[in-house]
Amino acid sequence: MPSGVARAQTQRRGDSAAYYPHYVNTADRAGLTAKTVIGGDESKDFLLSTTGGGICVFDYDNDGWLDIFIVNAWGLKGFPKGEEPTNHLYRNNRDGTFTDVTEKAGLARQGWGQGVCAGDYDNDGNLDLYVTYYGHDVLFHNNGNGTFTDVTKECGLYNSEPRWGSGPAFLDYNRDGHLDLFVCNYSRYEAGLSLYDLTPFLKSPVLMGVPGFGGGRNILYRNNGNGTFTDVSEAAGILEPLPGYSFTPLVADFDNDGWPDLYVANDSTPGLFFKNNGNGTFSEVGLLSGVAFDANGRSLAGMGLDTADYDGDGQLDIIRSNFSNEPPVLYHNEGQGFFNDRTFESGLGDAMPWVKWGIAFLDFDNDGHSDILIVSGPIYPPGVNGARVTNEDAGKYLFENAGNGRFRDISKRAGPGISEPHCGRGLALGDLFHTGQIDAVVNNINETPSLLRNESPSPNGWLAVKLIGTKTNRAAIGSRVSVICGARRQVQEVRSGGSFCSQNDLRLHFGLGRAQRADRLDVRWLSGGREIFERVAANRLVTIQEGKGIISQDTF
Amino acid sequence: MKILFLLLMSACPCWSQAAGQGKGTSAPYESIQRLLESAQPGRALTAIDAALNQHPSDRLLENLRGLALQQLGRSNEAAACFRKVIQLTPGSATGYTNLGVLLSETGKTGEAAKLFEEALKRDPKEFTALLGLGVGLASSSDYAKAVLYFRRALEARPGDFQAGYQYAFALGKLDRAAEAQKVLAAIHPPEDSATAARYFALRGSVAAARKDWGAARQNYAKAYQLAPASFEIYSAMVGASLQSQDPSESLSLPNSPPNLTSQQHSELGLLFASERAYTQAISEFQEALRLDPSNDLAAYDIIMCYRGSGQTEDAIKACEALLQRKPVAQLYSLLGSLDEELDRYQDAVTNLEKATQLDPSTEQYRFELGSQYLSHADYSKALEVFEAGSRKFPTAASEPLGMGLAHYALRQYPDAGEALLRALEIDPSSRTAFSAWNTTTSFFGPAEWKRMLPLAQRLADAHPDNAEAVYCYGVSMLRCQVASGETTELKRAQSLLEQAIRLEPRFMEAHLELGNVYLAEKQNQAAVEELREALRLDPESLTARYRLAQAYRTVNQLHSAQQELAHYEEQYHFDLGREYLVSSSPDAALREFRLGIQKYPASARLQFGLGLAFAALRQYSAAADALVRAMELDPSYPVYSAWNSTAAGLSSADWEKIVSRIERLLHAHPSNAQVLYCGGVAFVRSQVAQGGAVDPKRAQLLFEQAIRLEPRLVEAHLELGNLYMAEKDNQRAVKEFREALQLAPESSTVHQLLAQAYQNLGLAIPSEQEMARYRELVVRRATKAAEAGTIVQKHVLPAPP
Repeated sequence: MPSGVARAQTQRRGDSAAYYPHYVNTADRAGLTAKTVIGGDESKDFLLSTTGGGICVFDYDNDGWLDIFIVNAWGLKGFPKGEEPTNHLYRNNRDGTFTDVTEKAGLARQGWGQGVCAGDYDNDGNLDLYVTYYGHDVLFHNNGNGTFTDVTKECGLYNSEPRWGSGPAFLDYNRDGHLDLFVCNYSRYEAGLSLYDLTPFLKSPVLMGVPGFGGGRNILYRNNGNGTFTDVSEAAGILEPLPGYSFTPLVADFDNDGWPDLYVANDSTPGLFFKNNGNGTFSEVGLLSGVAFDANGRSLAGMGLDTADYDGDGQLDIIRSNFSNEPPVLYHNEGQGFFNDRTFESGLGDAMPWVKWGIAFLDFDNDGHSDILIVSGPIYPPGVNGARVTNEDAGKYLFENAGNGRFRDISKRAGPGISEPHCGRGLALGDLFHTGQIDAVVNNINETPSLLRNESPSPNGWLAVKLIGTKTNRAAIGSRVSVICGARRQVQEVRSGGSFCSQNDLRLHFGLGRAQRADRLDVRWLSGGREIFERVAANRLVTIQEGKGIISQDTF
Repeated sequence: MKILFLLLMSACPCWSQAAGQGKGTSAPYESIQRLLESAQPGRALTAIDAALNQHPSDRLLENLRGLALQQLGRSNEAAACFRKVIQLTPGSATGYTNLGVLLSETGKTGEAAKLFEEALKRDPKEFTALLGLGVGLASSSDYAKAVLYFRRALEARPGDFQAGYQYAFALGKLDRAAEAQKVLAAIHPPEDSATAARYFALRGSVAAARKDWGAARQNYAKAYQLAPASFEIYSAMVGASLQSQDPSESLSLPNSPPNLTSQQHSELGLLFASERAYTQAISEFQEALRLDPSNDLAAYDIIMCYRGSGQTEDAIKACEALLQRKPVAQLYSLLGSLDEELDRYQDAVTNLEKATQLDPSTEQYRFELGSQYLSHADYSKALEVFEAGSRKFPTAASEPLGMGLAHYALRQYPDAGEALLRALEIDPSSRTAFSAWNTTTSFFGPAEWKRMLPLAQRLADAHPDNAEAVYCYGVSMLRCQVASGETTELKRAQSLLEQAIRLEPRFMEAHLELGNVYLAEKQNQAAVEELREALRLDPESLTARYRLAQAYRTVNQLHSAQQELAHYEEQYHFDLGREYLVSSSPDAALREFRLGIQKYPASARLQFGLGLAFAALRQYSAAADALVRAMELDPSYPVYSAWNSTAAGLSSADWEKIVSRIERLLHAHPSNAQVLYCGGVAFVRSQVAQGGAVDPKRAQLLFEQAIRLEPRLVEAHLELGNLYMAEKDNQRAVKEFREALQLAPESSTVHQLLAQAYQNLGLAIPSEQEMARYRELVVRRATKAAEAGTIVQKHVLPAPP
């Protein structure tokens, strides 16, 4: 084990109350060596050069180990033959390393890739991938044998008109047991390669952000249950609100009525909150709910999203990453579908510098409280005019949940993986090395990705839960698990999409603190069913199948 | 002249006394008087002495002797004679009066005054004494008392020119011009041209005091005819002529007096320049310069005149020429600002740098240099300059203000906040510094607020009675409290904000933040009240409206919350669209307004915005459609500012589509001034578009009616004036344009139209004055737009709104 572990152990012995993680970037030694290309190194005149960079952590081959899919993009001047960038699928070798199996898996594809999500749309037990593009999105069917097939057209998801796809998410909005698909589109397609007109005071066109280019149209596809999808955006009310510049969708049951709702992070326009009416339609209620703007009514540049019950009140709260000079916004769920901006009260207000992208709640120390990891990266990545990313341009934030509704910034004490500057975009989490601790993968522009492994073992226990639906969709997306451990209650949902155009491990990870077991594990299946398990031992992955209970427990 | 008058007057009582007492004696009084009248004092004295030999102690002869000696300049002897008269006739006013006159001539005004008073004790209506007292008081500027005597003198001798003149003069000094005018009207000047000139000049100055420029000009003109060498009268006449804009008067100036000095030409030049008659001014300054090539002030004034008349290139050339002789900082600074007007940024910077180098002790040059950099997006250089300026001029608020703006433009928000607070500490009344600080703080996180807190405290301690200073401290404290999670000190923040409101009850920001305090303290109903007040003070504040909606939600008034949010959203779209228009992105503006209208189709404001966007894209038909729609939705929403320019771009086919809607509007809203105005414009423009002659009757009626309903509707006055001008009734056109000018003195369009009307009437100088003002306003507006857009809003690479 690396020396960081010994260091961490010293920390633990010295002061058991002051645990700090030690994240180290192990991408190189793990074999994640392909560079993500977005726009090339020459110049960054176009908006298209600044977005993209989704990343997905999922178990594509069902071997119980998480693999990594990295979305790649393209450049403005083309590439020599044989050097064209492509997406990458890395299979987990289970020994801390990964193997690039992209070609073998049939996922080698060139294009301006943007985001990704995972879900089992055909309930065959294998996680499929939906990858968005500037151009035409692709649904990759997981064949179950280590390969994928592009089934976009067969599924009715192909659109002849090119679009600027951004963040996607699978969800079962009508609770019919089949995963539907929600796709954000960022802006009008033409905006990707448009320049602003000459401004009177500046002598050359300048990239000034997306406002004014015209928003993209988000799409909701209903799964017909037969391997095809239908665009139901209009009927479902998704087109009611005005087009914005949508990046990331976040699916969760925010008002606890059993139906999955949708929150969309928009860049420079109000966020959208689609409340599921339970009848196949949504109502956009962002303004009244309090999640359209910040506390002062300003619309910020929303990038990434995540949700968790950070204060243990049983309501799922929302965290959103924003632009530089804007803090990440923490919307506290007050109940009844209302939220209040608690950014400053929670201690997140100082996270102002840097453009923030991937964002996620995670319990890095397994104490049962949701912490926050934020990835940042400048608009202009390294390589432009020889520029390198410095600490002034970018870094990561790691906020520890103090357990009293506030967070404290421990970024500088969380290891070099956190403090090293990169031009990050997508972020995905999962226990990649079966240590019981959450690792993170970051897609960096014009660089290799970062694989952040926490080499400081936490003294606390944990419990991972994998759900398999039967009546509910197979991946159990939308199902909720509550874990009660002592006085603490934690709530999580299985979720597709989120972070920044990315996908976390679909398994749910709960920190249990010093407890040896969870007192109660309550599963609310999206189909409506409920199962409760008492006294579930800690430090293992439990797999629960709908109607059958816990079907396996894996310790590691 | 004064002496002459008095002498003449003083002679008068003698005549009657002499005549009265002349009977029965052989003294040759009459012949002596004739000799004195014909200015032969020597012969008169001989005759008097001869008569005195025969009639010693004859008081009349003594009196006449005194007068003769006075004429001969033998004042002491004359005084002795008058004293003798007093001795001989102590009960008579004559001796006192004449002695008083003599002493006042020799400058002994105090003694003279006493003598006049003695005379008045003996004869309250003694004219010369009254006049003498008045003159003495007037000479020591005690006009309030002087007028009392002058009035009595005039009562004693109605129509007397001297008395009337002096009286009117004194009344003028007391700003009682109307009374002075009456007095002058009742007297007639003597025939000598010098005196008559003074009379008419006084009439002129009295008319000028009453702002009756026409009368002033006429009187000065008469005075000048009588005194064609008088520079004072000529310049007064010029001044009155320039002020007078009566179109019935044909304005032409006679030649100036001959042999004027360079200084006098300069003075005339200044007179012309002050009324923007720049052509004449330049001519005078050039003449001044020709007479005295070292007259730098005249050379400088030529530059300013060229500038004022919009001839910036000529101004620059003149400035460069003067700089050859006088390379001083002030001129480099001026040259820099001239370059700036022509958008020659590099030259402007070079010249301003020279100004600062030549005169590092003048803060203004440094600030101008920094502002140049700022307005041309060279923020780092601007910061350098302002930082240096701030060190060098620690008491000048403008330097840290400039620093703050430069930091802001560089997105160095905490440094901007600090600099702006420093500016406020030096000048707490600076609205710019306060507004900039308030904007900057929206980018503050808790760390920044913590940094601001002691600075804000220092500001409040330095200016405890300044609402903005107290507010800055209060809001800093509030933010720190909320960020730290320690709300124990919220009461202190609350009391500071309450104090700010006591100091300035209409302080919207303070009400808003106090509302935030109540929300933080969970006093939700109080928060609602406070936020409502904030919104009442500034109904356009999006933040206040949003916070109010949130507050309504906390007290479960969901319907009210939704109403506020609907209003918020509608305004949000409008504001964003307008921002796009301001930053010359009409396509984006169009999109934004359309988006807003999709959701709020009944919003007249958004339709208006849509009209503006279409007009910016020169899609006038669509613009007109949107503007008419706005009026259909709400005829009181002001669209007229955009209507005229839009209407000008419509074809006859476009009008065919619009006119029926206009007719319907007129039918539905016959008493709505805007609808009437727009209708009038429509009728005129549609006829023009159809290529036919314009029948002005209906439009004229509509404009007149609109004006009756809303006399302050500037546009209606302008349109009416245009109609009159088209009918060649330029007099009435001028009347309407001048009416418009009263309402909108800063409107460049009005000045331009008025100039045209004057031109049509052949009134060159007023026309030129108006055109000069027009150019000035156009330049000023362009500069202001560039500056305002530049410094905070436009030139900061926009963070997302």
